[in-house]
Amino acid sequence: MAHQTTPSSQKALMMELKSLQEQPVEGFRITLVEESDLYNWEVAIFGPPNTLYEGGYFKAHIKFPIDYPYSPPTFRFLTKMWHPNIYENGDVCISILHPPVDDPQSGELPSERWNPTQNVRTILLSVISLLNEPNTFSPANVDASVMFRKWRDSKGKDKEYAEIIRKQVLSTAAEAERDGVKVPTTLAEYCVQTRVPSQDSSSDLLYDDLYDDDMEEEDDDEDESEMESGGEASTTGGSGTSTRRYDNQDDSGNEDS
Amino acid sequence: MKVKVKQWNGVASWLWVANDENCGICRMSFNGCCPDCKVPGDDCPLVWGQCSHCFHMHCILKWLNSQQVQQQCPMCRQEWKFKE
Repeated sequence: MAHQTTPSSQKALMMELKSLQEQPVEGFRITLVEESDLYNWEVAIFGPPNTLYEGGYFKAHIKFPIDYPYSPPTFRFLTKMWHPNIYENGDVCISILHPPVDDPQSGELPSERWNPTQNVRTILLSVISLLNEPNTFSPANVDASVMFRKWRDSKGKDKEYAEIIRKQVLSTAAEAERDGVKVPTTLAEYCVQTRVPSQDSSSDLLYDDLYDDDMEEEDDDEDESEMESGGEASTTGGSGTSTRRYDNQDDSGNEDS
Repeated sequence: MKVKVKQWNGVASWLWVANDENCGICRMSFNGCCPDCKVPGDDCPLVWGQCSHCFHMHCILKWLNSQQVQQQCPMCRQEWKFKE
């Protein structure tokens, strides 16, 4: 262990990157900022259709610490964002990106903080839901938070917040064009068809071994019930259902008489 | 025909019986080892918490040692207690 040269975070990141490229999270595209650096990821985010962010193309960088997943990464937007929970410099403020230190001032419970079972997938899902559902209890951008509340409380009559965002969204079109990206604007385009990973045969074998006993028991039950119905069929003497029904009717007739 | 066995090699396979395939912390297979170890098996064992969640022992210890506050299971955030 002492002679180890590659940090364990490298393996974890490699696996996560592969999984996210093979089965992407809707609305996200992930690449490395530089091919040789696993600790810096570039994220392209498509604004979800039917929201203020529809048609938007946003860029962000995720930076991972060397002891990932024991410590959280940082998530910073490169695209200018007017949002209650995004700082002026683009840093996103969500509790799961904060290490669970005891800080009663923050208003965040330790249970809402980072832990090593969180991963990039859960972060991306948090970010995408944060866009349209800001948390106004601990704003990173107070002005945006006040403006958002006015917009929300007036049920959209106070348009200032919405207008700023639409303006920002429209200004991302140039970047999308530069990257040669067509931003999806309908739900059908936005929802990517994820390929189901092919089960490798070794894990199938493993399950077969584990569940063999149960399976046999079930088989036995089925055999018994088959036997019962088989016995029934033989007494009525019919091979088809119609015959059996006829016989049954006949039987009831006998009982009557 | 008579067969005389002169030599034989026994081969056995083993696996951990856990409720999941991968360690939730390092994301490596339970039947492999944690990223800091080279050889799977007794030197890199699995441990269970009373909450029934399971991790490579090295992974959960590393996490618990880095915690200044209450020690919790990273999966369900219940207080972590080793299962006897």
